[in-house]
Amino acid sequence: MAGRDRSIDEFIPEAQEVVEAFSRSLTALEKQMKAGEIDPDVINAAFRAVHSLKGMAGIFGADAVSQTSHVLEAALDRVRLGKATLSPEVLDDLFAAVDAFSRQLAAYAAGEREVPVPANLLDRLGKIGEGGEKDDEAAFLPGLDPSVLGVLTEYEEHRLRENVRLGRRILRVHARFALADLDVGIETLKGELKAFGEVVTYLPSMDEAEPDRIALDILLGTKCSLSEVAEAVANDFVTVHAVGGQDEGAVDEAARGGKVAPVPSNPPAPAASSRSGTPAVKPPPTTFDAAAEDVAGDDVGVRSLSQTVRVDLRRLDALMNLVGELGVVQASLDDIVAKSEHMIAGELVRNLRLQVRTMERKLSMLQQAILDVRMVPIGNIFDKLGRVVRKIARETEKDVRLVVAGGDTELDKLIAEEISSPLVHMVRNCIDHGIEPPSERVAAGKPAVGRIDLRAFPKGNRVVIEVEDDGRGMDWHVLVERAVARGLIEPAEAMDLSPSAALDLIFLPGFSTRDETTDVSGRGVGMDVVKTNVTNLSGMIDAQTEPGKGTKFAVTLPVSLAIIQALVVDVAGETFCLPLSSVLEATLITEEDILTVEGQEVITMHGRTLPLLHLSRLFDLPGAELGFVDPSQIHVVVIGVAQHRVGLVVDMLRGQQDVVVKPLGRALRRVVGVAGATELGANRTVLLLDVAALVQDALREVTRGTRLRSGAREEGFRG
Amino acid sequence: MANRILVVEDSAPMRDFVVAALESAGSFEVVAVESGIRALQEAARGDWAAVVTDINMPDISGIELIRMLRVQRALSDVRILAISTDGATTDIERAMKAGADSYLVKPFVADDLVRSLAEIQAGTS
Repeated sequence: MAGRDRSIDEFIPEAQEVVEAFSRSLTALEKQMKAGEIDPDVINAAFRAVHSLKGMAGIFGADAVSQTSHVLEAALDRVRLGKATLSPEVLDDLFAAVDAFSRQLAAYAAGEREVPVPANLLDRLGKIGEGGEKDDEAAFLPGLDPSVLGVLTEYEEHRLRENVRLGRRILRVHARFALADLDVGIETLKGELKAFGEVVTYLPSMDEAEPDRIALDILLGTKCSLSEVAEAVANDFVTVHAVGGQDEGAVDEAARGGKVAPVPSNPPAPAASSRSGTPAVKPPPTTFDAAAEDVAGDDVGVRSLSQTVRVDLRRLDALMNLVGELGVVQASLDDIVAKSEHMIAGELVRNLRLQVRTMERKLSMLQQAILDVRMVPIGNIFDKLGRVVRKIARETEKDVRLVVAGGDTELDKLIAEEISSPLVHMVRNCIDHGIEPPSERVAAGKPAVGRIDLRAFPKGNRVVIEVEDDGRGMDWHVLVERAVARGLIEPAEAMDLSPSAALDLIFLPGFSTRDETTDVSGRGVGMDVVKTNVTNLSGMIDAQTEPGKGTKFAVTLPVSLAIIQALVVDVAGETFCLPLSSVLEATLITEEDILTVEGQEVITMHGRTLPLLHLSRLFDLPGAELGFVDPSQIHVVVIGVAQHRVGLVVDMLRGQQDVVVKPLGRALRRVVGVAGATELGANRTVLLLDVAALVQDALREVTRGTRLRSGAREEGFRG
Repeated sequence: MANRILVVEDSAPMRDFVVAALESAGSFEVVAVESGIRALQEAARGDWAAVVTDINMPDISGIELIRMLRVQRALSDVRILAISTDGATTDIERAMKAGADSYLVKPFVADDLVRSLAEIQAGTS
């Protein structure tokens, strides 16, 4: 077969990685077995690792690995389908397979042709769960549509039955996501749901999806009640339902009355979230104490003991540039391969292509590795904020407790440093303006000690940092009065402001609610400076407040600056990149969806009105005056900066890509709306758009004369 | 873009192999993604001649993906080729029931893949 001739060298490192992953799963299973709580997801991960290995070995003609993994896969399949139980003896055999793979891979690497297959081991593996019973097909599966069962894999069907057998409730979690947010959305929701039980499967939703949205149903097996789960995860886009005729009592009844005694299942302990995932529901917060470490204290402690090297960031930047240039070389190679297709024999081109692909992937791993080196835990900054809190609380004679969570969340060193002083300012604000003096708090029926929550958590390729106080909150009437008094808005405009638009006033330069008699926060910096800093980092800031209850600021930042994920778009024959961290969603509209309000084109999305910006007009591209390519299909990319949202009209979406940002030459540096350049391969230089500047430009356009009313908030557009 | 193929495969070397096989056949424009979730996002973004998907993937499996593609009107008649390993006959049956046009069993050689794709595109499979 063709695979036999293909370079085995390439197969070996990949296979080793998979075998290591398999080995890690086994180690985890051994621990879980001792603790008496086996996570089915880990068994399934072990199964999938061996499944991948088998696929690879087949393609690359590594017959010994192929045969071994074939038998092992079947054994693990029986384990995950409940036909075999994990025991120390079974685990011994599985670990023996790890050794066998290592020996086989070493033999292949040494160039041996005849690599032996461990017959005894295969024999033992073959006996694991041999003749195990299949699930009782007639077993009680309450209210599930038979068509649903038909699309589950055998494994998922087994997990579903198993959950029912354990007396867990099956809930259907219905979720709708904008396409662009699907990956982050599912990851987040799954993280939240895992704290309540087992995510059994994802199903297409029966209701007709809206364009550019995807609706799906998640089946969750849980010990918790519908209302408990709903309280934690339900929102405008997520709803929780009972499955079929199952009600609160029925499950317990089924478990009690059924043939199988209910086995105590895992308590809904917060699941260990993956590095990229969002922490499950609410991570247990820790009260800040100078000596105390954060939630993941142990981990951090161990890490700081390991050997470290201090590296100048500029050296890493130089490395990163090199990788970027290699990427360009790689793209040219790709191009050459494509062009020489007809000149080279098929097998050769195929091999060449495979090598180019592999190189591309290794390059992106290299890129990621360099980025990882730049990452620091946000906990370092949280420590600093702890000291600030103590100091200011003393100065203002207020009692404040700082509660931090998610200190192990990592982000780029540069971003961490840049966000540090805005955070200090926000915390100062909380204490100075938010938290009331103890007497006032007690009179309001609150605990005398005020509380500030600092939270950080990853959200896809972004990090969210929240600063929340339980103080007096902000009264939007007061905000509006102050803005009028300071001449920032006209009294007539003030009438039209909604509460949320009024809250945006605090981000205006010249607006400060500071009491003139204190100067704790009033050191020349207001929220406008915070906003500018966040915006410069391609971040967003959102505020929520409730009078008497408190205020919450959420800062969303990209994890890293040097390489960004970009959305590549075409406009009037030109290609541009947009930082994906600023892209909220992409949608299709028709010309009828566009309204003109006071000379500005706007569209309405999710009940919010956004100004439309034409890139072609902004950059005076040829054909800008011609109108839409197809008025019934207009691509709009919604971008967000700070609290603003703007729709960008583009001709075509080309897709996502990781790009290395390069600074612009002097000539282009002053062009508004361009942040840098990047190379997309084939020696094509493409401009990276400066989303912050674009948004500001759009708003300036709109706000001429009607200043704030036309901010990104919908309520401003009534006139 | 007549012959755009979306490849969905979580194992990186397998993905490379499939992409290289299709690209060297010459007539395809190939986009490859590593998960069912990314596939859903990508699928909605363009015209696809066919989707080639592995069945066994974490989170959204190939079978779930096929189901979700089929309920979207724009994608209800895109050609779908499912890839699985031998032994997983139940899963292959279910993939076909969910709406796959054909399937291919690992291990396979590049020519098998190209032939299978040609067959489902011609509607002879």
